[in-house]
Amino acid sequence: MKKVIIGKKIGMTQLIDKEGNVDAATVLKVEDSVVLQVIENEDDKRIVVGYGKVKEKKITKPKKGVFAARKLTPLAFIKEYVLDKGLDIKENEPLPLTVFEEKEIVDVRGTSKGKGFSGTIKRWNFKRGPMAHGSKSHRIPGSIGGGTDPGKVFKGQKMAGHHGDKGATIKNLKVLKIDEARGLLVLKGAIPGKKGNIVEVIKK
Amino acid sequence: MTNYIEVLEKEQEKKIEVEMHVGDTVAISQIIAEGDKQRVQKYEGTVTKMSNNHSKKTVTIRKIIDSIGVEKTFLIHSPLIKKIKVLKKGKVRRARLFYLRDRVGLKARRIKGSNRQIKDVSEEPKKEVTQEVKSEEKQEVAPVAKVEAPVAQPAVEAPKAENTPKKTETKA
Repeated sequence: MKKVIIGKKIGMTQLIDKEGNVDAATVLKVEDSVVLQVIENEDDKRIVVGYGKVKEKKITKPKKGVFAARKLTPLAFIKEYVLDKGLDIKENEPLPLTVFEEKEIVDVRGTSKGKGFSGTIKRWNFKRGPMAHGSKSHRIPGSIGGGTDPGKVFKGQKMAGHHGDKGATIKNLKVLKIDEARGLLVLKGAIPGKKGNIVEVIKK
Repeated sequence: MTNYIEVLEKEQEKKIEVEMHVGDTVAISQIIAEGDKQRVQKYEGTVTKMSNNHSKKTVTIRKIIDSIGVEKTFLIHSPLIKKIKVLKKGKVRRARLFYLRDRVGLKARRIKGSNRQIKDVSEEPKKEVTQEVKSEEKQEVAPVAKVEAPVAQPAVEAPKAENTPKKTETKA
């Protein structure tokens, strides 16, 4: 990873450019992030970032201590990133939006929307059985393996279960707009998760 | 909390002075790129559908070309749209004129009912223009009178005067 920004998903809209092209766009608000430490190495630059706003009582004492030592307001998460050496990032300051440029291609990492306990059709794109002509196999998964031989169900067999609410990365999204004054980053297309989720915008 | 999506959408809006409604006959001039060249295409027809949402405002226009119905949707705030002109005002009772799709022949064009209505409509814009001008003049005159009044009267009286008509409205 060479560049990173942490933002909050605000929602989707559309952007019209000067030539009349219309793009579906996701708006991210870049806020509540602080660089706690910058470690310069020979090849790369490691930064420790605090991000995410929560109530103060929900933060553990050791975490609070990290922020208190730097006289900063405590934030929810602390994470380390390996970045490009040339980037201008300073300690005790928020992650700068200016590391990215318009028209740059980036990846977005976040948590997908939770779908609860889902059947095989939603979770694994299985086909359903016939709905009529006496059929009773409407949404059932069907056969899950052989008989006496092998005498077991193989590991990794696709079945119903919890779907969504796990890490997801969308690659190669274009940066449509950077609004420094308002702290907004507008990306082309959709990103994982619901509104209000914290996502990482990264460039490898 | 500011609604950033609304802010971004409002930024993209153009100034549109034309006021149009469903049922109006409208001509829209749109830039069309053909290779390196650009030309302006005029598309004329009745408005069958409108969706209003800041910069996402669209208008669907229905036209009959060689007895085949054609519907085209325009993004009003797009820079490709050069000009919008309302040719005729229509009187309709629906927000979506999908019933026009089932009509054949002359009936499909005469959405505003009889010819008489169209005549009335052609006269209406002129009347409206004059009315608007008058109303504007009145508005201009009125504030002057108001400005004079508060100077003499205490400010407490003004809210009372505003409250009383509201009460009467609710009773009625």
